[in-house]
Amino acid sequence: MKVSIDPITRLEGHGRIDIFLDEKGNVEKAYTEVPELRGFEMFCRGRKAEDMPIITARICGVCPEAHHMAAAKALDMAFNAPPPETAKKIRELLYNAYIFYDHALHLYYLGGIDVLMGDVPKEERNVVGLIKKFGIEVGKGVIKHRRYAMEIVKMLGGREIHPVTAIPGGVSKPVSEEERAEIIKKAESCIEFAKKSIEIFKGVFETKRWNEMLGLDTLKTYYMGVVDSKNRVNYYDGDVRVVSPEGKEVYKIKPEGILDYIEEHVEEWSYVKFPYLKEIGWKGLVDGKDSGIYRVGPLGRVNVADGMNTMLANKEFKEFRKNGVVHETFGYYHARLMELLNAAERMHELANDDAIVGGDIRTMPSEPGEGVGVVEAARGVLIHHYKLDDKGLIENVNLIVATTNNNAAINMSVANAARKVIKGGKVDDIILNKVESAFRCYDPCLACASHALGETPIIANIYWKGKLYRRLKKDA
Amino acid sequence: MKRKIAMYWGAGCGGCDVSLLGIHEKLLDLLDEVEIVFWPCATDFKYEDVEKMEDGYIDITFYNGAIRTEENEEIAKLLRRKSKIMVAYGSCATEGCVIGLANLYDREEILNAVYLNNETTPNEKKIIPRGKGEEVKLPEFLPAVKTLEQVVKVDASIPGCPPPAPVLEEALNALLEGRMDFGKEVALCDECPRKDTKPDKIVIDRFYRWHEKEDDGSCFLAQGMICMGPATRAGCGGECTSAGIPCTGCMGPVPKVKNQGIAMLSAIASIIENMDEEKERAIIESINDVAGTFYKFSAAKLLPEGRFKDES
Amino acid sequence: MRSIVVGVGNPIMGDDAVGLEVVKRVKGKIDAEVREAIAGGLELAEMIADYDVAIIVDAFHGEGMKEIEMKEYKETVPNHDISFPSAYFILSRYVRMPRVRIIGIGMKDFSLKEGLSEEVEMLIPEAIEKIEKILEEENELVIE
Repeated sequence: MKVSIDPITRLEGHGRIDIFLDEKGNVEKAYTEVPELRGFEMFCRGRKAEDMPIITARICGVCPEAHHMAAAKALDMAFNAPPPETAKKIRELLYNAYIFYDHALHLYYLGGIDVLMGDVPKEERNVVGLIKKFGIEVGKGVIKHRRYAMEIVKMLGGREIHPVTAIPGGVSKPVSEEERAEIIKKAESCIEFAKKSIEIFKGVFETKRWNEMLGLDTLKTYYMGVVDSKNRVNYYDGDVRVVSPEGKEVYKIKPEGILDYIEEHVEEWSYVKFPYLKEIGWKGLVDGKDSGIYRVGPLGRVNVADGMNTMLANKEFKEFRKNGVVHETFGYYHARLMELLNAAERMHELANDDAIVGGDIRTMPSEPGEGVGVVEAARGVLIHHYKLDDKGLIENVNLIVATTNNNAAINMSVANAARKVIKGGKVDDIILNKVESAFRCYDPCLACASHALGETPIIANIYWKGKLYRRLKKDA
Repeated sequence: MKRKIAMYWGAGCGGCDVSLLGIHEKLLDLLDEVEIVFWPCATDFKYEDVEKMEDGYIDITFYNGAIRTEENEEIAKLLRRKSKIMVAYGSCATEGCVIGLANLYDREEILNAVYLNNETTPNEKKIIPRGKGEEVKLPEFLPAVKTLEQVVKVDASIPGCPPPAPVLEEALNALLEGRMDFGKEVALCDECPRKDTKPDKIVIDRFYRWHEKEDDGSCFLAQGMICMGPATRAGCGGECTSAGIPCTGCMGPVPKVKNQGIAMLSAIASIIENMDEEKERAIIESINDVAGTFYKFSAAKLLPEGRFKDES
Repeated sequence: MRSIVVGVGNPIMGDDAVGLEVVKRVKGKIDAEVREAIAGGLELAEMIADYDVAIIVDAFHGEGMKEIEMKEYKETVPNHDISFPSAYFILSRYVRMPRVRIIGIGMKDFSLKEGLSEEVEMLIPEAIEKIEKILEEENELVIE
């Protein structure tokens, strides 16, 4: 017997979970399929390089800043135009504002609802239900602080959604003193909001043991994340670090080299591919140190790092990681809250840095070549790789997108959750939601995961009433 | 009684869904007036809940995202049946958005680029996902991207990628009052902070790509950089040009212009009249990527059936 | 007799939009199909192919309103791929093409903006009369 959850909800993107039960009504297998694909890897070919930060932002409207920055960084490298310090800091400030609003979205509108609302019927499992249960002030606080972060994005990125200011070699617009003062005030408020969020969530999830809640699993996988020179979490820039299930560093790679370490596996039942560590190899949907599957995102980052780069967040980090690497999937929520605080603190720090109002915001590009840009999207490591031709047009594109990295782990967690909560063929809305809440931990962005899908001589074919009548040629 | 609304995404990016939250505090007021009966991004109602609804049960459905797969089309038709009013929300649904650029390529080319000829995908079994026999059906990746009105009747459209907050607010107010008249009639130039330096005639030797030149703060067209402003609908307040980037046309065409790309192309082509061949060639060559520049958001309208097949 | 009237012009290039404006005002008031086109050339030739008579209304660099011969017809913006007269002749090898009459309206202001100049606006009623007159003339040539 097959039970389908169609579509999966409270996430970004399209998905379906198909669960197959045996004669006893217990779960035999489960697939988390992504039925969407748009083909960016193909239709970005032939486009002007400088259009890529704008076009690739449309891979995802929830995390456009991630693609925008990864594209800009790939072009910084491809045009050999390293941005000046002010530009880097403006970009990093913009980026932290994005991490803040994206995590807030997940915690209060998407996955976090499962944690905060518990086992309630579907009509209540949304932000309206949240406001009814926790009060309008909580609702207003969420809306206000997301607004603050998005207003900061607009000041630095030009628009709230799909920013435009990151260009090859820098940014297109400086920061004024007035803008800076506003950002400092807003960031302060965001720090308080992040602290309050940690209280609210802890208040709920410390009443039950993590793993018993929601049917979540523990997967002993590898982890991958970007860290700075002191091995602290950094969303905007750094080296890529991979640790083993035991918590030992396996690789620390410069961004331009990362693609040599990853391969992607294809299954017939999903448009999204399955990345794995090339050296370890693909052993199927299993965890452990012999399987190349790795996890990214908040839990991934926090597991590969030795600390956070801001004070309050670092305190939370030390507490969370006191027993080493955390493998419980529910740990994603705790890591996400820590990052919400970290991003708010980092915004405040960068806005107070005088370099942010500097005038040198751009290095002019030189000859076009090849480039790789790596950032940490809210959901994990994001890699853009471009090859440019001599006119600066895109010859080839490869994108490995955050959630794609987690595809294998998501499938495993969903299947494990299904096995745990579905027994004897009994399914209802609340039980099925527990299965869905397994993928929601990862905060998947399936539009990102399924992004992918060529001097012209002209030939004009004249069709008349469906038939080819004449061909006109014009050579280059 | 509260109006029942639905918001659904076809082949979109989620930006339009987030833009609905972009009205920020006004969302709380909106929730007093409407009941959201289906919105996969933020609520848990499933397709089976929609199928159980009576025809016309939903007052307004906002459909964002383009029609790229069979599923996008099926759900568009399902929602059309169940809704009194269907609104194409955002650039993807109205004119295909950047996803429409896929229509410059063949479906097979796209699947190959993703699954077969990709540098990090060995895929020795050469699998192209189509589903797993009878167990799992993946919806077909259609031969071309379609806009919403190519598959169902559309009552109104809200342009933008995504619709900026002021555009959305005006549209929502109108629609909830039963009116379909909203949106500005003029071109972006009207709202642009650089409009005082907009030239009557474009007089230049070549076009500059905007990463090739320092922005001096004047109208991009005067600086020799291509800006889609004159053919693009106003409403966003000139966000991109204020931030140092030329308009790329995401709000779609000015209402009286049906084909945004060709209007702008034609305007640009007008400067090369009566020029000698060499100069002409230099200008044409300095444009690069005509489709991506003039049809960045409307390629699906340029090629509604996708690429023509070569029959010979 | 099946007739079509096509206004050709670019709505964002000042007076170049006059052709479009003229046909907007006759739509529904004459016994002919009324369409608009931005580029001339092939698009225009294809549009008129199925008809007996086609009247094209377009702006031209000059003054006043006059009828233009096909071989003199130059689009205000050169197309460099294929001009309307060439497209017309190519198509006529495969398909029966209509008799074509072209009304030209002289432009005062050919610049990047929306809206017509006053002088050109004043020529519109004349152009409308001319369309009606041409339709009458062509009708008389047909023996039913």
